[in-house]
Amino acid sequence: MADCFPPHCIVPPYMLEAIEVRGNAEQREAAALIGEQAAIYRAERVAQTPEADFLVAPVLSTVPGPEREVYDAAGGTDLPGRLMRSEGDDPTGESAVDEAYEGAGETYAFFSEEYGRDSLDGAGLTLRSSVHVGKGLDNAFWNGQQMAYGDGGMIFRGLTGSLTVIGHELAHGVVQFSGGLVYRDQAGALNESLADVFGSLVAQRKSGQSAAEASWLIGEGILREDVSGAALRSLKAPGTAYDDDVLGIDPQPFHMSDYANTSADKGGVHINSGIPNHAFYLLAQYLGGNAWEKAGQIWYDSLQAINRPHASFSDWAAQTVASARERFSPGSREEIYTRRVWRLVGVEFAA
Amino acid sequence: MRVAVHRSGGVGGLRVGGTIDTADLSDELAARAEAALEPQRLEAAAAEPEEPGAADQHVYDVTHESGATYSVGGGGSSDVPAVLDELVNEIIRHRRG
Repeated sequence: MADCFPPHCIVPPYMLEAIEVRGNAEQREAAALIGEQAAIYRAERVAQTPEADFLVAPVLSTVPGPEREVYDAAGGTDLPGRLMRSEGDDPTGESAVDEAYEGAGETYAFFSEEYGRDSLDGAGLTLRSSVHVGKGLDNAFWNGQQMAYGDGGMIFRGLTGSLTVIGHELAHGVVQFSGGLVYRDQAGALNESLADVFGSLVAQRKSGQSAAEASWLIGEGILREDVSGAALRSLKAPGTAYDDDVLGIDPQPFHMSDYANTSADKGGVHINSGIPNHAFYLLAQYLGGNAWEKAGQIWYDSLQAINRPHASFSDWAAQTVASARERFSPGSREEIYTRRVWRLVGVEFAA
Repeated sequence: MRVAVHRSGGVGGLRVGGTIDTADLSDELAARAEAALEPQRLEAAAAEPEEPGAADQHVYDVTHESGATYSVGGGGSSDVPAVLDELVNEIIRHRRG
C-alpha cells in the first residue's frame, strides 16, 4: 500500500473504487470527479472491505422470463444503435442479431433456472446487446450497462458466434450486480474467471455436456483461420489455447508459482484468471456430473456472499470453502474437494 | 510520424501491436492517424473515465518517438481508439504478410 498523507489524500482510493462499483449515479459522478482531480488516488490499489450496501439477488422459485433487446450499431461506437429485435420478435435472419438474442436467452435461462436469479441484477434488468460495433472490431465487451459485439477483423470472426463469449460478457454483469469485483489485479482476475466459469457453464448446459464431456474452452471457433489456436482460453489446461506468430503463446498460468506480476492488462486480469479457472475445473471433475449443479452452485453462492470488491484469490478460496460447507454440510465431500483444489493450484487461505 | 502502438485487454486479453510509420499508410488513413496521434488528443482520450463495472474493453498504449507515452481506454466517447484499432490491424496485416 502506498503512503497517503493529507492533504494529498482526502478520500482513500479504495473507497473511490468501491463507489465506482457500487454507488448510485450521483455517488459515481462525485467519485469520478475526485478521481480526476487526484491521479494519485487512481494509482493506489488497496484491499479493503468498504462500507457499502451489498447486493444479493433474491432466489426465486419462478421467474418472469427475459426481456431482450438487440441493436445494430452499424459499424459505429455510439451505443446502443438501431433496435433490431425485441423480446418475442421472430428471428430477423441476420445472424449476429439472432445469435446475440438467443445467447442472451440461454444465459438468462441458465441463471434463472439453475440459481433462481431474474436477470443480471436479480430484478429483471433488460438484456441489451449491440452488434456490428466498430469497424472490424476484434472484441466483445460489457460496458457496465450492456453487451457490445464487434464483427471481428484481423483476429476473430464475428464474436456472437460463441455462446461462451456471450455468457462471459453477461456474467460480467452478474458480477457487477452482485456487489462487484474491482477490475484490477487479483479481484479483476476473479472477475474474469467468474465470467469464464459461467460462460463455459452456460454453453455446457445448452449442450447437455457433463464436466467430463465439456471442452472447457472459451471462445472456441472464433479465431480466424490464419490464427494458430483453438480458443481464447482453456479452463482445463490454461496456457494451451493458442500459439500464434502474432499473438504469441497463451500466457495463462494454472498455479500460483507462475502468477504473473504485471501492470499490463490491469494487472494481468486475463492472465492470472487461469489459476481460479483451473481450480473450478478441478472441482467440477472431482464432483462429476454436470458442472453447473454442484461446482457452479458453490461458485454462485460464493459470489452472492463474499461482499469484498477487492477480494484476493485467498479471500475467494476461503469463501468457496465456506459456501460448500454451508450448501452441502460441514465435512461433506464438496467441502473437502473445494479445499483440495485450491491447494492444488497453490492458493493458500485461512481455514 | 513513427509510433509504437500496442493493444491489450479485450475479451481475449491479447496483447498485439508494434511500430508503424504513417508514411507507409494510405494518405487517407495517414491523415486520420496523424490527427489522432496528436499529444493533445491522446491526452484527452486517456483522461476519459471508465464506465463503472465495465469489463473486457481494450487498452491502447502509444509511444511517440519523443518517448512520450499514453494509455488510452477503449470505452470512452473519443474516436481515437477506433483509429488506433486500424493501426493495430495494419501492424497485424503486415506481420501476417
